[in-house]
Amino acid sequence: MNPILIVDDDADFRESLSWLLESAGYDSRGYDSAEAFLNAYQGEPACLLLDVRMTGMSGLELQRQLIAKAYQIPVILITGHGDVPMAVAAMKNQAFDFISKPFDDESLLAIIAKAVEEIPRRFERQSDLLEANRHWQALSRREQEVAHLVAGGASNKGLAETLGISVKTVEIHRSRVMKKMQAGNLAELIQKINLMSDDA
Amino acid sequence: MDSLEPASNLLEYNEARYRILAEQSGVMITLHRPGDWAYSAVNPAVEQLTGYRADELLGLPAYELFHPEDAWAMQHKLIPAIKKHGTRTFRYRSRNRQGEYRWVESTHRSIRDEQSGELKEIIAVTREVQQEVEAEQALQRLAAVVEASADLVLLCDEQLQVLDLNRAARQALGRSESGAEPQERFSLRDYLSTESVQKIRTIALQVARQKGRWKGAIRLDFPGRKEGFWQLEQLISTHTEPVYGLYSLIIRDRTEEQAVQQALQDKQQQLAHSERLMSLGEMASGLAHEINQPLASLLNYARGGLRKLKQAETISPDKLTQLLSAMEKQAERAAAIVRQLRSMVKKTPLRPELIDLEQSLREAVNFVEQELEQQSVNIRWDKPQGKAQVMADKVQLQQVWVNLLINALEAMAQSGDRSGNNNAQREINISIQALNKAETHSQDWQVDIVDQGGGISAEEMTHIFEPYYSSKSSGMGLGLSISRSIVESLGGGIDVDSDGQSYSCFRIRLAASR
Repeated sequence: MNPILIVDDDADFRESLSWLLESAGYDSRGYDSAEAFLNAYQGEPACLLLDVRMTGMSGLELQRQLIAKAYQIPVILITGHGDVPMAVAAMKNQAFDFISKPFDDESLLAIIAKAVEEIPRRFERQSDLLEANRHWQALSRREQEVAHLVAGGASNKGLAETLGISVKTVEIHRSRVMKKMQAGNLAELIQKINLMSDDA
Repeated sequence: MDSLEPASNLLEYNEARYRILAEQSGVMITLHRPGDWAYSAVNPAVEQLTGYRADELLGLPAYELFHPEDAWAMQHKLIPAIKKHGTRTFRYRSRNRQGEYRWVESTHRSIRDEQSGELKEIIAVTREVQQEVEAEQALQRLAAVVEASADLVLLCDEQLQVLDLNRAARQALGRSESGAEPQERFSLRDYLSTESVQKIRTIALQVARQKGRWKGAIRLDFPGRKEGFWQLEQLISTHTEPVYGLYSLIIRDRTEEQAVQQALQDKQQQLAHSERLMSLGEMASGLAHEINQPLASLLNYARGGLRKLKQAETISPDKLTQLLSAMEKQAERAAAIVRQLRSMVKKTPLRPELIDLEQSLREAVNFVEQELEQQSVNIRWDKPQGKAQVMADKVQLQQVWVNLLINALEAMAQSGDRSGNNNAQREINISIQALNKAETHSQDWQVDIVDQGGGISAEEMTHIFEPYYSSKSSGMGLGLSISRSIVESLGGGIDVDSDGQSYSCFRIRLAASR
């Protein structure tokens, strides 16, 4: 079972929440600040319960850091009562959902259940994405350029003209791209590049 | 022997002496022909004064050297006067050989034939007065500046007897306007309050006597004179011979600065007051968050426990002890916050005082003036005859008005947004009216605050005074509940009425006080 990770600077609240989650059959782990969480988290499958209002790094900032690292962990934000602007900002930061405090346990558990359901799909995508990113970083700048043009549907001949190089050279670049990106065919390459551009 | 010399010799002798006098004199002596005023004889001093040699001047009409501005007066006034009276002194500008005009002063005398009385010659004695004239002009310019100054400038002696004063001072003191006439002597003490005189003598005069000058600010009262804020700012000892012990007083009208200063102070006071009003709202919001934390934790524990029991799981006594301790701790935490709040409230005791309802409402309106202007909302007043007074804490009561006014404004802004008709002239109606209660022979005041917002539905009206009930996206939902507890603590009541679409009326009743 994937754990529920709780980031809240109120220790009592963390503890009570983990008791509630335990009663519903979830494992949970608490962190007292966004910084502490970022130091510990390595991208493993989990669900995150995040308080927006914290001393130090805010929940919204933590969300942005997760996006920058391409982590796909579903984030449920806990906002204060009537804090609509904050909730809107959280949703724009690709939050899975938000719930305002004080909350009803049924609603929280329903949201968590949905998020947990999402975990396998999200983390498959995350590993694909991280792998594609890693491969992409291994490409030279010219190879990245060629990859983009190929994915955009350019022929070898067209590429040679656009880049002002020989068709032969284009072919060499192209085969290196396919190999480094571990793409068996053009369709796979396009899929990988689209995955990365979706995330950005 | 001298005494035996013939008369002709004596005449010659005297003539020679006069010649020496005329030739050696630094003063220019000239003879002029009547008619064209041409030089007929000149002494050597002319060369020094005019730069012209004697032979250059002889036969030249003197008019040609006069400044054009003076020539007319010479011709039309001076010459006829000389002809008539025989002698005249006149100041004018005369051109020297370098082409410069210099101020000179001439005394003219007519010489007539003893028998016929016919005008034979005119003799002129002329000296240069350039420096004198320049000094006088400088003095006049200075005097004009002092005279025209907006500051009150007075020349006084130690007893504050006024010797001279400028126009501003004459106006301020209501003395006769004509500056040309010599002023009747009077004392500044007749115009000033005793306190002001005392301050001038003990502070400013003391310093000026020792150091020659005092600078500062002494507020002066001119009882019975024009209202204003007058300040003595300088007192300068003027050691001008032949009179010593005279002082120049410079008094400035600071009425406008004072008004600005006062406005600034009022604004600051208003700001401090508004901060106090604000902090109540902020406190409520902060407090809500603080209490929410332990309550949310408490709920989590209780619900988690219930969930376990429902799932027919057993909870070990150890675990149960742990759970109940945790719950106790959270309840304690909430209680501590409430205690803390109570002690905070105690620190600011209420100060019930007699309050004029209209004034209290007007102050609250001032407080939301900017919002009113932004939304171009007018306030329409319906006021009772006479004063409507109640006993209340001033800040608390204003908290209620500000709250209701802000709600009214927000309701109107929202309905304006909805209808897209934000420009129409809209009003908030504030009415104060007396309610006579026959059974107790007492009187209440009723304040209605009516907005032209979108109204409140019947369903909403039943909840509107409940804490945390809010129709706004931002806001704690505490404003009306706080308002109600304030009004009720004053023994009054608050109600709402609305048609659910075009208006809301908040009605506050307060016991009258006389």
